[in-house]
Amino acid sequence: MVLDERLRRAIEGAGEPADPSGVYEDLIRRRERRRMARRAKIGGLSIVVLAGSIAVIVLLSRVFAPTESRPGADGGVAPSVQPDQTPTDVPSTGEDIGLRFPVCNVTSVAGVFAPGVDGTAWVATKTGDVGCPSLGDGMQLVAVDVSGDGVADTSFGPIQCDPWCSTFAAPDVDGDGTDELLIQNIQFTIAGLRLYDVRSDQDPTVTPVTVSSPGYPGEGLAPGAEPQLWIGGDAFDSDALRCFEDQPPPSGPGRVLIQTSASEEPPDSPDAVWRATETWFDLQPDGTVAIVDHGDFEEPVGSGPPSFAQQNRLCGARLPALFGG
Amino acid sequence: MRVDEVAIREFLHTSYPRLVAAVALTSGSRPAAEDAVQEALLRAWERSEKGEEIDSLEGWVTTVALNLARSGLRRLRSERRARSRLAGSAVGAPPTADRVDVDRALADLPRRQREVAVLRYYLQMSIREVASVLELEEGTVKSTLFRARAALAQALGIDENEEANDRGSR
Repeated sequence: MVLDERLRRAIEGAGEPADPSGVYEDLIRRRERRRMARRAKIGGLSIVVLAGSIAVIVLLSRVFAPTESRPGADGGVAPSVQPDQTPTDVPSTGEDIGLRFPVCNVTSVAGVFAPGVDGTAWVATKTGDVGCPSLGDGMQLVAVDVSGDGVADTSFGPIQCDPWCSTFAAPDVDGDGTDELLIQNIQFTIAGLRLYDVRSDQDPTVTPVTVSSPGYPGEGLAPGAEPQLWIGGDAFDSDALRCFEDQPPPSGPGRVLIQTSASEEPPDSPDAVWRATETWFDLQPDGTVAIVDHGDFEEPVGSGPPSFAQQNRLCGARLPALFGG
Repeated sequence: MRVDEVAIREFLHTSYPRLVAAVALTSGSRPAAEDAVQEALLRAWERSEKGEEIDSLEGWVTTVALNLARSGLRRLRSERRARSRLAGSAVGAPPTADRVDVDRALADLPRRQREVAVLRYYLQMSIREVASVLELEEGTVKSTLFRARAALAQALGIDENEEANDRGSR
């Protein structure tokens, strides 16, 4: 008790309580700025969608122009099949990706989710009765076209997003020749990612990957938890993901996904070192990940990138440009 | 509970000052701590407005603020903002030698031990509360606290056996 009391007093003396005056007003200002930024982002997204639609219409009108205006370059016979003139039935309040309801705020990524088939994964918001909810509001979901016909074969939702989710990449995390799905669930310069397992069986499924027992509870990786992955960084912090081909079973786990989180300490010092923590994830056939290794290491901060610097590809998938792609 | 203006003002009055100090002790950055606690409070407010239930505002904000403060980028940005705010203003009183020692001793602890020690000794949370905030098992909190306690005692030159000696001399 004496030691605890002395430590309590020592730490008590080191803490300096903050002055709360003016903080409420700061919060109000911060909230307003965020609302304006969100509106601006939605506006920007609408402009991009509109511009994309116009570009597609122009492109299609050129492709399906009257035959006499576009004879074959070699003077051959122009196509005899005329385009269907029926207007495309596009819901005014959302997009149809094959679910039983229209969706909006759609992002997508290409992937091979069934052997040899080019598929697509989407993250989208279910369109409500009064139209598209604001980005970050409403029910956000993930959907996957496994069969390559352009419509979703399976979906999962609602998914937890902060404040909204988007598709990120489709890496082959377990090296079985088909892709898994990474979704960005935390929108920040350092991106928070969640891994989804896609099954292409008779009844395709897409489900969040969870930690198998015993996990690593001390680092928030308790059994059943969805591992929160990170990628990105700045001058003093770096989060990176990479694939590593370990010994194949039964000698080793085979291909593993490695998360490295490192801080430069002390920052901006000639004696600085990267203090890094590495966690090895092994995706199991049942869609869970086993934590097969977890440890710390250090390396000096040199003039070049650290050994764990993010590469532009992850398990065969190209990453978004902001994160090394 | 519903997080509204009344709850926010109450939180600012009662919990905010010490929570910022606690997050500053764990992150080593006062601006990052203020930024993280304010951001966490705002997120709680926004989530409550969307209908999400928050059982304990203090617990929720503590958990999220600690998570946010771990982000190096947020820390860097907060410090830059604070430096630009403070440019030209008077510099505060320098910290005492004792405080520097405690800051250094805490900084030398692994992150998890530092957070457990600060929540336990500064915010005076129970083991169960610390476990809930850090999403750890109570046993993990106890063993982490045991290691933090020994490391802090050594760093601050406090005799761990003092307690036993005191008992023995009675």
